[in-house]
Amino acid sequence: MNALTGSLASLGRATVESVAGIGYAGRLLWESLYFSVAGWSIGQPLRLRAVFEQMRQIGVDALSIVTLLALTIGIMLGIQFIAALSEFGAQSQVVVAVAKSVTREFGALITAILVAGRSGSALAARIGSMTVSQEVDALATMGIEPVRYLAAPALLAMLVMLPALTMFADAVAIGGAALYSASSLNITPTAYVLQTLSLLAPGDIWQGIAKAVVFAVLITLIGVSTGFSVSGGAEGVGRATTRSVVLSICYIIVADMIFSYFLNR
Amino acid sequence: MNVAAPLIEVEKLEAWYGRRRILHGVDFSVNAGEIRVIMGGSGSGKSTLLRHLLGLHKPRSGSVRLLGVDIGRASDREMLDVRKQIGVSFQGGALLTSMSVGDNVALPLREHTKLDENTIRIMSRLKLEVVNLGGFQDLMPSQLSGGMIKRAALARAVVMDPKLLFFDEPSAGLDPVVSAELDELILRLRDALRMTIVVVTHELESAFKIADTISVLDQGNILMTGSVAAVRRSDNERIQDLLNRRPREIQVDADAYLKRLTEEEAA
Repeated sequence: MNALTGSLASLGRATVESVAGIGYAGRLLWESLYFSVAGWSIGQPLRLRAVFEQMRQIGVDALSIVTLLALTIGIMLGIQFIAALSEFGAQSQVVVAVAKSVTREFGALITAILVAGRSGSALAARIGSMTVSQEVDALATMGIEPVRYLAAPALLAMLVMLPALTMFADAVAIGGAALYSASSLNITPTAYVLQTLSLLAPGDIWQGIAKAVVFAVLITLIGVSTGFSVSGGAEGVGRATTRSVVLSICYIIVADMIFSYFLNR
Repeated sequence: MNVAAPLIEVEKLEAWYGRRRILHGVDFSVNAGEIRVIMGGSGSGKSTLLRHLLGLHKPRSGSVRLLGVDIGRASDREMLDVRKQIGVSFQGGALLTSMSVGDNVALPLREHTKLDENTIRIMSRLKLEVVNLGGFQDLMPSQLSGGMIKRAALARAVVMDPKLLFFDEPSAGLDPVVSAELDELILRLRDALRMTIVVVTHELESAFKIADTISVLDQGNILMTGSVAAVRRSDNERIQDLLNRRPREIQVDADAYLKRLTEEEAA
């Protein structure tokens, strides 16, 4: 009986905590958007410089690693589709298979996972260590809203850069696939790319971008909210960083599945 | 402004962490121009009281008025106006580690004023000179010693020329000489900038040196508020324990003791 009530109690506590967490993240989203739009009218203006700085860290600094991964994914998809489709003698369908799977799925997913690992964790670590050393309290007492100063620039930068990186990754991955599979298909890489462009509908690309926008919100909110709720010194910061990456990736994959289901019905 | 009106008025302030009551209806007021020391041992509730005074916690019951504004009910706009007029120096300095010392000190000016960059630079260097850190503006906080960090934090706290300055544990973690210098600095600042200063500390020597009045906090209650001499003369046993560094006698309540040992959900 005791064991039952004990586990019921911990289930209840976990439920309350996760509902509170979602509520807190929702409030952060609302406040960040509010400060971005109307902050200047209440003496809490969003600094464009901070947004650009975040955009550089989240987007520009990630270009090389996104290139590498997207190229690899493109080549890998080329290999797999040629192997699988040649069994049915349908090699010529490789182009459309790669084009649709990259733009609708892999471009957004790979970029988001990468950015969650790079920038989501960095956000959690930065804000977490600032919380521990009372820097967040200091900002608040100086009349600088921590959400406006730390969260809003990151959210805006993420909302711009993640879709941009996703489009970039789409292009690089298709290029990678072209390099590998052109010879197997007896066409030039240029012809491969041209064929891809004629096969792609705007809807395919929009699907990836819409996902990227949702992933951007998820990564930022999880990073920022775990950062702000850090307690317990340096160890707490480490735990929050790990937690933000694991949570972000889980939420990204689940959201991706839900999105794919509704967009492809 | 009405001179007689206190800058800080706290009425029946209560604070709870979970089921534990930290502050038991604290009443408290600080007049313009005085240096008030809030003194108390560890666990007396002085950090909690400070967080309420700074508006970092909203009071569960009772009220806190800073510069005439009830910060539990103030709008964001009013709160911002209050915050522009107070300065806070945190225990560990709380300088933003990603910025140089000069940028840290200039931050409130950059955020809250429309002054041009030259003026901001001069004003922040001026404040660094006041705390004897002239020429250190390009160093990062990690390159400073403990005493320098506290002085830089003080420069940031006073850069907007606040009416009210809060100082959390000025001597914590400093050697006696540096902490004595910091005490001198606090006194000088009050005279030069005409600020009202609230210092939270458990350090007796420094408290007696800088205080005009002292409030002694113990287990969530204000035991007394009075001049340095009055506190020294007090015949309250707890105050004398604190002054003479006597370990307090812990009285064991048998029922509560048994309950703590046997209760399953000890909160």
